[in-house]
Amino acid sequence: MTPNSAVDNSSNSLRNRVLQDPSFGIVSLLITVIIAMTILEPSFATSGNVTNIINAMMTVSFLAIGMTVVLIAGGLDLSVGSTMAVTAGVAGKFIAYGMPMGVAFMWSLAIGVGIGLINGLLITKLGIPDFIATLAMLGIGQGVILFWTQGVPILGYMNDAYYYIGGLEKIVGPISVPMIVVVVISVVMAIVLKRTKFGLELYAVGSSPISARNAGVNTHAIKISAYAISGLFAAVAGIHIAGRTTTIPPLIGKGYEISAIAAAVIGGASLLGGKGRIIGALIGALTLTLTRNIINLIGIESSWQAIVTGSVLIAAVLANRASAGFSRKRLRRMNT
Amino acid sequence: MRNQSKFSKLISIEGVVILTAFVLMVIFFSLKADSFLIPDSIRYYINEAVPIFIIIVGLTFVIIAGGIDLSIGSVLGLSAGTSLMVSMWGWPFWVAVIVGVSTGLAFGLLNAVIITIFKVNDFIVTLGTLYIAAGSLTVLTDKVQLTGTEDASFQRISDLSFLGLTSSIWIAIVIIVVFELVLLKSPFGRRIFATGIGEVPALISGINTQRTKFVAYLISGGLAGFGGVLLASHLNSVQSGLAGGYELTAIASAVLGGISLAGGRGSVWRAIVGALFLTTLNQGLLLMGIDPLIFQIVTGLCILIGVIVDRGVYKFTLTFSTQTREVNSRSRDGEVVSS
Amino acid sequence: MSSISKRFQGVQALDNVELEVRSGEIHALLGGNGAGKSTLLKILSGLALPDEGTISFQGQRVEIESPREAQELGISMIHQELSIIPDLSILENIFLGQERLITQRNSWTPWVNRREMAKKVREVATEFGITEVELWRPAGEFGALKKRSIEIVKALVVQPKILILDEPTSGLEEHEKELLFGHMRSLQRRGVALIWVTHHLDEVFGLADTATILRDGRSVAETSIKGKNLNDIISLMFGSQAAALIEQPRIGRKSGKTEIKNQFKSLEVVGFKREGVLKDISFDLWNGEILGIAGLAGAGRTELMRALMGIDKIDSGSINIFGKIEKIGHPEKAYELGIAMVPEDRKALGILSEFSIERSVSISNLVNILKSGWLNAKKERELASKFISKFSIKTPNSREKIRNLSGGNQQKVIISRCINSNPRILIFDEPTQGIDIASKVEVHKLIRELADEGKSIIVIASELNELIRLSDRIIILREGSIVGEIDSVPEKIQMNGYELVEQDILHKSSRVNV
Repeated sequence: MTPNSAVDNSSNSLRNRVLQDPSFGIVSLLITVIIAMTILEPSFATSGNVTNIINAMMTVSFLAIGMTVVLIAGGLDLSVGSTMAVTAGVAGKFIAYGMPMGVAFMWSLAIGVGIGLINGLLITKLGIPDFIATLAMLGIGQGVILFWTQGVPILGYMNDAYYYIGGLEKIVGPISVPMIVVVVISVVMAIVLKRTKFGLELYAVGSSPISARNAGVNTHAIKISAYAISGLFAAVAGIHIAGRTTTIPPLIGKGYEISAIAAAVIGGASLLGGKGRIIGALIGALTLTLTRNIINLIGIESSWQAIVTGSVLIAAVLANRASAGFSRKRLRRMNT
Repeated sequence: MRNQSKFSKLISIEGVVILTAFVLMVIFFSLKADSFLIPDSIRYYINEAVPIFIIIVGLTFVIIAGGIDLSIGSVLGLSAGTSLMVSMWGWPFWVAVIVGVSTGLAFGLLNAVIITIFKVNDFIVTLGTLYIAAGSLTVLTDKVQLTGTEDASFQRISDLSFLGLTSSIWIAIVIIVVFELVLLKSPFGRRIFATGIGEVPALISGINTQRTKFVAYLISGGLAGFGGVLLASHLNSVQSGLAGGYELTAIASAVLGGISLAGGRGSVWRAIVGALFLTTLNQGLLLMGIDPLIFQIVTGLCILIGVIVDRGVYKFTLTFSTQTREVNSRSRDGEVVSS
Repeated sequence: MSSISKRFQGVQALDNVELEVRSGEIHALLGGNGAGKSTLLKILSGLALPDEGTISFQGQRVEIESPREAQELGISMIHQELSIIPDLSILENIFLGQERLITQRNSWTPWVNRREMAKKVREVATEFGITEVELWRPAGEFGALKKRSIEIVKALVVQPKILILDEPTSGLEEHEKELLFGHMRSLQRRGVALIWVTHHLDEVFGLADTATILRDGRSVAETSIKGKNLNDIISLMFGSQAAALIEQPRIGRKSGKTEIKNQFKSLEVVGFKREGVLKDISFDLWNGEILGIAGLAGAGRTELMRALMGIDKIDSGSINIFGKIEKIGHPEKAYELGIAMVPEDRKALGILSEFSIERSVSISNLVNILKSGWLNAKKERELASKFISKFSIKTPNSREKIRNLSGGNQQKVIISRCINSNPRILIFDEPTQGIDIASKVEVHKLIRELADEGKSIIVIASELNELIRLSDRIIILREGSIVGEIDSVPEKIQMNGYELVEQDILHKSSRVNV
């Protein structure tokens, strides 16, 4: 994807491409922090901790990828956390009732897509603002899962295969099924975004819906698809988390939407639409997970997590705005 | 001008739809559930709902000004924590009140600055402050066991009985009346409406929209803080996660009351009617023996239905406006095009 | 071969308009602001549907219901407002939505092959100054010039049968204009029909074959360009409007600065600069005078007023108002200092649609209706009634919502709002836009009365007739600078005749030497 910052030096050398990359700042920060932690805290760079980090990253990665797609198209999906919860519940309950795992997973995915479609339709056809529609769906979803669990965690659905699928059992060395799934999904979505018409139209609709429409793009269909994709990946996250935590507590999924947004935004997606990358979503997810991990290692209690996540989100959005402002100033100077 | 039918004139009266729904609902429940209309039980659940009423007042200002504040629930919870804590440490009750309200104002200030000065999207910011406030409460309750103050005067803030109603309810009534007056009858309130209708036309008319929105967020935070004080006084204990989800109820109430999320329309009492509707609905369902966990689903549905109905009614009343001789034409999807 | 004929009846915008274009013809579509040109174009390009009427293409009736269908027919359009997607690269902007037409493949594929697109597009792009490197950069990085070129390339690259150009030369330099004209001619030779909308009447000569002229939504003429000159065209465009206004002669109005007692400078604008928009503008304003600001769309007239009101920020410059040096950073301050503005584009910028007449009138000066600190409904109603009778605003009562009024009455309400703020300087930006004739006359009378009371008035009007008849003095803007000033307008009209004055302004606005 074309780089999205303006510089005077427009030669295409490797050095320039690296410097101009929108994630340059955050990646440098990450590398610095990692090096610092390795030196300062002995338990950081152990293989155990590293696998911890990567495993913890999985859930947010799925959600962040879906959120990135929605953000690119100029929308916002606040319901991903509750969609994840509902689909996790579906998977767990259906398997506990005796349904074959594959079928149960199909149901989960279908419901995830369904919720996404509903979101998309509410927003495009009924004209409900995106965050209201998805906020309402969040409430509905949360209610559904609370009601279903009756406040009691769902149990009794884990089987051998699920241990693998959830990532608790590894396949080879440290590699687990979720890791493979994340990689596959990332590659597929990255290809879709970069090389297909659909991907291009997603960016177009997010960047300027009116101009996109003038060019003949079906903006409604694109937005609905984006929300459907978000719902699909929320369902993937749901299936995964059910396997990872082995029980489904009633409050599962609470707060995940904000992590998803934060991760996407850290990775370069813009709330205004038209920008974002899959690799960015992964970088964002890594950043959040790493932060949590470091907080734990240093000894700050985990109760600080919400505060950190909230602050990181605001900081990321402010930074986005600042860099947008700077590049606009540079643009004006360039163009006079 | 085309003649409006009696029906459409009726519909466009502010809040008529929700009031009718409310009345119908009350009738329904009093038939279906015993003990629904007992004054004691009514008084009880209204008392429980007071904190929500208070944050709704603040939210109304923000929404009418064209913004949104998602942090009100968590800020209310945190303020409950801080004020209770101060009271437990032996400070007099009025110090606890100041601390609680200041907590709310601090978050209101944070929201106001980032949203109006740095011009960051309002719901992302308030989503962020929601989490910061909720997280702060978690940290607080981790460190300090907020099991209750011995200061009776703190407790009496909410529980004093007067003319058959608790002090909580009286305070809520006073706040509702005062702020409604400010909204409808003060220059500041008028500016809030103008800002919400359109920031650009308001600006061109000479209104400082930035300052107006700034104050709106401060009010929202401050009232959330005060609501927290009342809640702490009433419960006399605060736990992590308190008031989580209140913002959903508050938004739903505003939407049900017919306040447009786009801004520029509405009033405090309409949001309160919406809140009464929701709390009564909850109470009715409870008394009918239906699972309380359904309530969240219901709230979410109510938001959706409320927004859809609101748009429908609005569009309906718009068809009666005169548009003569404008050199404009409507393109297919309703965008107005001028040549 | 006839390409299109069209007739429809839209009560508001277009009334039984006919347009007929032949292949290989450059057909100019002319008319003043609000004449209906862009509506007509929107219908032709599939962005709007006519209420009545038909479109025939090469003898066959067609329905154009979406931009895509227009494309399929071979209709391509270069828009007036830039329709660029900033986060997409220039190349992507060019081929978005028209991939199949460019590659001329019939099968559908989900893939985009940018390299292939670049190959097909390269030639035309380079001709319009888009380098290879630039093709791959986000379109949002570039200025209006480049964006205009992108639009042109986008339209040309699909080899259209009908090319619509809506103000294609705005923002272009001379050599780029020549380039565009060259392309238009070569397309013409290839049999393409071109429909060309432009304000730059000078360009029409030497290029266009025929012209259709619209006025107030009707087609008033379809004529061949040969044998006509600039003045013929202008009179066709603006003709009868002048007749209505001539009935209000400019007698009884003191002309020029010399007649006014106690004359002083109410405002002095010094060195307003805003990158790309205002290039060092300075002017004076005297009490009791009506200063008109002329210029084409995009010349910077509204931008100048917005800067004066503090709505937009300026890079540098200051004002001296009633003797004091001030900086206006916010419209609130402007109103405090005694400046009020009636904006253009009433619907988007002027009215607060939810407000009643009462509220609309009081909003710029709420202090007026206070009683012990609170807004007083009775005072508000009386205030509104005062203005309703003073300006003959037609409305059942003062509580009516402003959006229910007709355009003319809405404008009167906005003027009332401004006057209620006790201004000493009033700015009118397109004061009679979208208003019926009767109200137009009333508004003009109002403006003159305000000036007679000693207030300073600035008027922006795109219809030169209106501007000339109203103003005592006119300054002419072009591309952000003041390029001319006409003093003592009424005297000049008497001496040299109206047409000469109008021509003078037109020529200065559009850089034509005749």
